[in-house]
Formats: sequence, structure tokens, C-alpha cells
Amino acid sequence: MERPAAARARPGRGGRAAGGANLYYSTNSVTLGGGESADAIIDTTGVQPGTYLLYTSNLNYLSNNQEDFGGMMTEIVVNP
Amino acid sequence: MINGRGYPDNRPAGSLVPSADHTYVEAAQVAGGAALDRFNIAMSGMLSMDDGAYNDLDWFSARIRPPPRCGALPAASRTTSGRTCRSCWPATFRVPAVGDSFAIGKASQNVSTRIQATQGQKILLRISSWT
Repeated sequence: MERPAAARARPGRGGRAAGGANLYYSTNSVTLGGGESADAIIDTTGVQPGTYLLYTSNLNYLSNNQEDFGGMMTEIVVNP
Repeated sequence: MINGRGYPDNRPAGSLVPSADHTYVEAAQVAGGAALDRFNIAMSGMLSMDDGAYNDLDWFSARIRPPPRCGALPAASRTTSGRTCRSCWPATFRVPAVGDSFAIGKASQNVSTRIQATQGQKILLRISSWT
């Protein structure tokens, strides 16, 4: 499924280092270690309207117990 | 979980029935034959062990709301006396009728996790890992 690009930086820093260097970059995925956080901006400019999924790539977190598929996933709906 | 819930729980209407280990009263209804009054509430079911307390007695009646110190009775089984909580029954307490049935389970957060935007808008996400 096509996914809108996300850009991210460490939270609360506005995408810049202390010296003003730009820490912003574009990506489709974010990898976090334990206790880490990241801010991501999803820019829907030019993104085809539709439903996209935000989800973990750890398959063991994509089970919703008795509901089967689900878990750590949600929809991002882009409306025209 | 996202926003306290898991996909696709943002699709069905209403809140989910949680798994049994997060349920305070697994099954509850007024037992027949009991002399029900404001001090004597009969019910079937079991206490969850996740905190060992009836935190939400409003499962029986929306009007029952004991204070936090109104904890679990150690031998709660088929008949539970509410005497330890009598000082906290509000005047609006409604005695359950024989045959009343109650919701099973504790509702999880009833907030949709779906994110919606109009094309061209930007969505800010803060993603955290606890593990």
C-alpha cells in the first residue's frame, strides 16, 4: 500500500540541533529504541485521497487477542 | 496499543468487551431468592485479580458509586454483602431486581483512534516506545 511520506525529528526540538543544524529528514518508517520518542509530520500534499495505515512492523504486536488481526495499528484517512 | 486501544476497534460502534483478565465482574446478575435491600446485593461472578477491588460498582447500577476505600470483600462469591459500604450508598441507590442483568466487562477507552485529514494538511504525530 502506498504510504504518505513522513518526516521526523526528536521531540520538542523543532527538527533542529542546538547549533541550528537541521535534523529533519524524510522517511516512511521510524525505528525507536526503548523509551525513545520521535515527532513525525505526515504531509498529505499530493497524496491520493484514501485510507492509509499507520502500524508497527513488529508482527507480534499486530494481534488483537480474540479479534485476531489488529493491535498496534490505526487508519489515516486522507479526504479530498 | 494506539491511544489506549487496538485497531480495528475504531471501526465497530460502541466500546469493546475487554479480555477477561481486565474484567472486574466476569459475569454478574442478581441471584434469585435473595432478600435484596440496600445492604444485601447478590451477584454471581468473580473478582478480577488485576487490582482485587470493585472499582466500578456502577456495573450493577449506574447510581452506585462507592468511594475508593470501599474495597473488595475477601470472600466475594455468590452473595456479597454491601454492609462495609453502607455509608457510601447514595440516596439515589436503586436496589437491583431479581433477574437484572448487567454489562459484562469494563469498557475500554471509547475514543476513536482514526486520524483524518484533508488532502494538503499536515499531521503531527508523537510516537513513543515504552519497551
